[in-house]
Amino acid sequence: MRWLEKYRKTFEMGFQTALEYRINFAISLISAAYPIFIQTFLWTAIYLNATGSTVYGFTYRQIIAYTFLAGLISRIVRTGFEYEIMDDVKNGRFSKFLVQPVGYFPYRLASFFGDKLPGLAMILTILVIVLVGLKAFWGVSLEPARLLIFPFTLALAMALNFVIFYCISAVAFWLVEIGYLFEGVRIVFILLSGGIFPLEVFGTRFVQIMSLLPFKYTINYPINVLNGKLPYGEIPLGLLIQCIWIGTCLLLARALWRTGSKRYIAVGG
Amino acid sequence: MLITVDHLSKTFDYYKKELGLKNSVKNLFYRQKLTKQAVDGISFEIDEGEMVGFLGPNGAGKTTTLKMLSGILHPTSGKASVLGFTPWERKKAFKMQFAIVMGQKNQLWWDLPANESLFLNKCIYEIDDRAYQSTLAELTELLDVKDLLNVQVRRLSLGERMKMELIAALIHKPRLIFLDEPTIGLDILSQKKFRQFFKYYNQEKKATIILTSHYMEDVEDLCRRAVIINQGHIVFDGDLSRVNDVFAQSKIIKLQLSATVTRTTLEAFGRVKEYADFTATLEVPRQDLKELSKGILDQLPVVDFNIEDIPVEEGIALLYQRKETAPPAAREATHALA
Repeated sequence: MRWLEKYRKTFEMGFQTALEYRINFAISLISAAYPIFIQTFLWTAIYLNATGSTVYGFTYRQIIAYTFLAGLISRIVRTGFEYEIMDDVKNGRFSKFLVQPVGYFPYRLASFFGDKLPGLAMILTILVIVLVGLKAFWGVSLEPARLLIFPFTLALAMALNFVIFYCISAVAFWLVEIGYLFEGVRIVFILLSGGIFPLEVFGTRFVQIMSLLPFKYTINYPINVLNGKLPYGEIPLGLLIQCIWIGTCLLLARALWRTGSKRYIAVGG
Repeated sequence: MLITVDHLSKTFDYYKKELGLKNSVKNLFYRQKLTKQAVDGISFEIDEGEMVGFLGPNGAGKTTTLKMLSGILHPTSGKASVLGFTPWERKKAFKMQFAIVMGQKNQLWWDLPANESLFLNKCIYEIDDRAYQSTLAELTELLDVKDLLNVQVRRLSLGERMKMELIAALIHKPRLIFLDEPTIGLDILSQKKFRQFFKYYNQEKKATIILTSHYMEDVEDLCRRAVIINQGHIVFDGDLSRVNDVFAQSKIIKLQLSATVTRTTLEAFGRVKEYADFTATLEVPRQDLKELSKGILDQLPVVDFNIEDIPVEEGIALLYQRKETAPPAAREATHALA
């Protein structure tokens, strides 16, 4: 397994780099908490003025639980390597991957997960605390079977978001400066994936359409598996759709990168 | 032959933008697409163990050629065989045998000590532990950076970082090394050390080295053979010392005088290149050298008298100019002379 060794080392170095920037990570955690608090205030105001006890089929406690979970899960699946890819292509650093016996995709994947691991461990810990808190203080029911399936859906959600952004970052071969494209895409995606509000807010038709697209399966689906909104019978289909979209995006990424790297002009030096 | 290049060409598309804000706005809606012929049908061969200098002014096509030979770029047309492979097919077996060092690009991880990046390269090139340790020990010894292996790369000086880059590039003992401006930005002492290292490496390891540099000393010191490229064409390919054969018409005479002589008097013997109270440098036609030397010795108060070739650097500069102004036929003649 000698070939695997290079990616193991890349993973390890990504991990070490992340540890170098502990303060930066701490700040990113605080910035993650900010939208959660804003939405909590917003929902509180809405429920205080609502006529019934539920809004869009959610009780107040359910919606606050969703907000917390969505905030944390969107952090977990969040990428970030796309800026590095843009930089590699823009400044000619992509060249080194063309001359060395190393695959760019597995290299980025290994480096990304290494870099993400310390933060991931932290957020997962917070997630566990939030879940325990929800159960203990608000009596939110968490079924053991769902707790077991949830990590799988979350892992696939991470993989799916990774391949989606890997596809998007290939645009760097056509358009040189795409930092704002990433930002724009991220905001739309987070909305479509249920990272801000539950998708039910937008209506049944919208939910049906979103069930066919990949976005929902990065945030909304894992949450609904966990909180019991999704019936047991529908869980396997979700897992299957996650896998199908991962496969589709991988094929698309392969085609995009193959065409894109031929356009690469290795600027500078 | 280790490298065979056959009518290799590369064109790039680019956009023209005139100066000023108005044109920037105009550029948002309409861009005039232009094509630049970076490399235009070059051919040459390089043998195993050779050390070849690739020379040319900025934008001549040197780096583009190296990028095609290392597989980074696809050519627009033409063929090349490097180590028996077509470089842009990017086969693993090909990548395992060569290295490219670009002076301005780094492959080291900025936030970690250099030994981490070196170990990553060990894994990438699938080098076994013993070979890695011995190569690492040898290279760090030669480049005198043993104590710096555990220092974060961003805390190293440019020279130290370049040395680490070099170790990273050579850790898999490549048979072929492309060096693109490896000494750029380094101080004179470091440049000299790098040259000594390359010389040693070429002789000891029998590695083939292709070097591009703006520093004439790099090339003069290291390479017997030079390939001079200008505006995408090869204008000279041969022994570096023979660059001036192309300009065999001229010789340099350096004079030390015991009394001052007017510039007009000197101009009677040849073109005055330098002139001071008791020294002068003249450029004279080669065919008249004997006669003019005799005249100078007879008529001027000469203390010391030296005849020299035009410096290689000047010869190359003349080649650059000549290429830019010469019609195609003259270019061919220059190439044939080489």
